Amino acid sequence: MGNLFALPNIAANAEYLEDTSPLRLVMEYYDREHAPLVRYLCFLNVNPETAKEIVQDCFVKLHEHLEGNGDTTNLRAWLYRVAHNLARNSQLSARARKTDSLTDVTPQKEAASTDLSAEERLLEAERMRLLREGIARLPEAQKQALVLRSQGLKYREIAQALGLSTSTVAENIQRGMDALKKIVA
Amino acid sequence: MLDDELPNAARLECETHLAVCEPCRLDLASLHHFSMRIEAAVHSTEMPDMSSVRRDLQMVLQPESGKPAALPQNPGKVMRRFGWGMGIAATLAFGILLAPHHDLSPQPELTAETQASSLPQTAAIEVDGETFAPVPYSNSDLSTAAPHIVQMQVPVSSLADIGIVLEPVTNRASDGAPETERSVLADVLVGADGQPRGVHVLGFE
Repeated sequence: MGNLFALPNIAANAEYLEDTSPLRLVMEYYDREHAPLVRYLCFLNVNPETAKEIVQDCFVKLHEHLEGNGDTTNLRAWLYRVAHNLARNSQLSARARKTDSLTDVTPQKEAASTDLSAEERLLEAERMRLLREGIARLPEAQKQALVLRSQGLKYREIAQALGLSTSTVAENIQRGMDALKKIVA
Repeated sequence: MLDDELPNAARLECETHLAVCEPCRLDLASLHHFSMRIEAAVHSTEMPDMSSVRRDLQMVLQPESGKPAALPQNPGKVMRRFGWGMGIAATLAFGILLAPHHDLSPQPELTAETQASSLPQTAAIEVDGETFAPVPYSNSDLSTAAPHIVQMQVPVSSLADIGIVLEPVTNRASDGAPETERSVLADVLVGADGQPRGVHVLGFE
């Protein structure tokens, strides 16, 4: 058992804080962004195994980018752009043997909420399923913008990731939401 | 989805309007609620197990040698990435293997069998892209830098003596002509000593 009264290892903490190596930055970004990236890829109809590979490739490329003194002004948008392009490449090369489908956007096993009755939980799960399917069926541009927005990206970050103007992104999000409202109404 | 992306002036204008406009406030609340639901739907997507990815990534970026290692990849991905390259390389290798045996010049209606067992293992002589079967008793040390190539009829029997056996495959080829009189048109590479060094059979008469 560790000594609870031991002083914190200040030297080690200082060393960590001073570590500005690309590796540390990459791992920080990985911990923060890997789950949203995988979710985004799943909505692009990339199967989970390929999504894992793409995410790994993304962070290897990020490391190369940082090692090569690449632009670091918006690395989150940069990561999504790389993931987006890798997903597109992967889908182009796999088009002939495409087995992915919209149903690949499968629900996470949700923890049972104690506040809701079994019936309410079922209804809520059904609504979520409808929304997920609705999102998956949206036109590509609207779906991409909406999913990225749902992952917390700002309009300008989405624009940078998708290579669009901010106004186009806003328009796609608005149209996507209108279409979804009709689906779940 | 109103957020801090609006310019200050526009944001102030919106806030002022919302403070006095009940319908717009309700619309915004409804929009916000719907955004939250979309977010929840997106976040409820099933995630694959990513535990191995972090470990692999760390190993790739910080291997013990200090130099980035190659990513562990599944065979399917390797095939997808390198399949075409491997296919082209295999085709090229196959072509290179076949190339020395593929003669574009007109061939006699004979089968040429080089009886390797009776010949010393000498490499073919290539001069200006033309390949000659080496004549075993010639002086292989002589240069072929300024080659003398003579086109001539070469008796089949003499070719047989150096290990090139030409056998007729049709009746016409052997009609009437005694074995000893048959000949083939060939390029003969003549060495600096005036002796033939190699033969390239061109045709049969």
